[in-house]
Amino acid sequence: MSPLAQILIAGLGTYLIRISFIALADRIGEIPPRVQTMLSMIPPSVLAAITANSLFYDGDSVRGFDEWHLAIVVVAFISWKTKNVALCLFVGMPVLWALAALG
Amino acid sequence: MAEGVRRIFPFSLIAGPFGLVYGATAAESGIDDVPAILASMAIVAGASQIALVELIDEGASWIVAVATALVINLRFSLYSASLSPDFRRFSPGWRYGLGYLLTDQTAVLSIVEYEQRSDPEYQRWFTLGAGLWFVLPWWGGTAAGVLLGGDIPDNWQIGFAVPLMFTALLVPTVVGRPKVAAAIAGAAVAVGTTWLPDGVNIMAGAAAGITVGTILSERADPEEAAA
Repeated sequence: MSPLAQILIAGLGTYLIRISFIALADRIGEIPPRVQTMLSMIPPSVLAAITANSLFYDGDSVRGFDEWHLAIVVVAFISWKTKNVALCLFVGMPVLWALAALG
Repeated sequence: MAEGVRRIFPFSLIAGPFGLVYGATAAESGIDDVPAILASMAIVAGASQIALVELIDEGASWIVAVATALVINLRFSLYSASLSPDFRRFSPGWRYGLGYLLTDQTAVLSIVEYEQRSDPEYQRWFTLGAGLWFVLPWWGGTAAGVLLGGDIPDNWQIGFAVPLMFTALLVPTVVGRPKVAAAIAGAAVAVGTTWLPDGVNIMAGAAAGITVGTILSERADPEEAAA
């Protein structure tokens, strides 16, 4: 199958995943409290899973402790203290470069 | 709309360089320029696009290549579930149009914003603004990477943009002990199950986090469990 066809199928499939529950929205009646609680747990659960995966796994092996982990601790602390997402993103790469330069 | 743009803005600055990384990866593979660029418009999800073009380049069967990309993207179903109670107040055109724009960044900023503002008119314009402002540099970066090719110096460590962006999204969502527990469980299980295919370990972590967080939340205060 041509690369273009594979890309278009993956695109269609990804779109269907994105709208999966949105498409079902009309069939869902009142949302029970337990389900609301579960929905509210989605962001911290999935975001922590993705963050940890990207920090400790590099695609085919475990990533040892290095400046990435130190930099993330700094960034997370700044984010938590200042509640400023933009600041955290702006300082992120420079913090990493500084830590890498320090060796 | 302006608020959505304002909130996504710092993420959009990273979307461009990250698009460049994907574009350069695609250019190095044997894939033609047009399909490589179209992928950023059709799929709009970087990690899965990189995996897909690498598998195509290696000559993997199309079923393996497409399935791998889709499994990496299964997490989007969780954002879909999270947003559906609000999205159902939008017209079908808005729902299915905005659905296309639900990258991790746009989806999570929307989820967080919707908790503060429940006006559907405001909500959909917020998501439209954030969504568009994020995909434009993604497309621009992709096109530049594909057409100009070249290597991005290793010492830039652009790969760090992934944990950086997700940490920036994560921290504001972790409020209260049940959510702290959910995040810890999600992280631990995702890292403990990296032997599963990429993306499946993320779903395993998410499932663990949701379960732990829900149980603790209901135990802590049944009245406020839904808050």
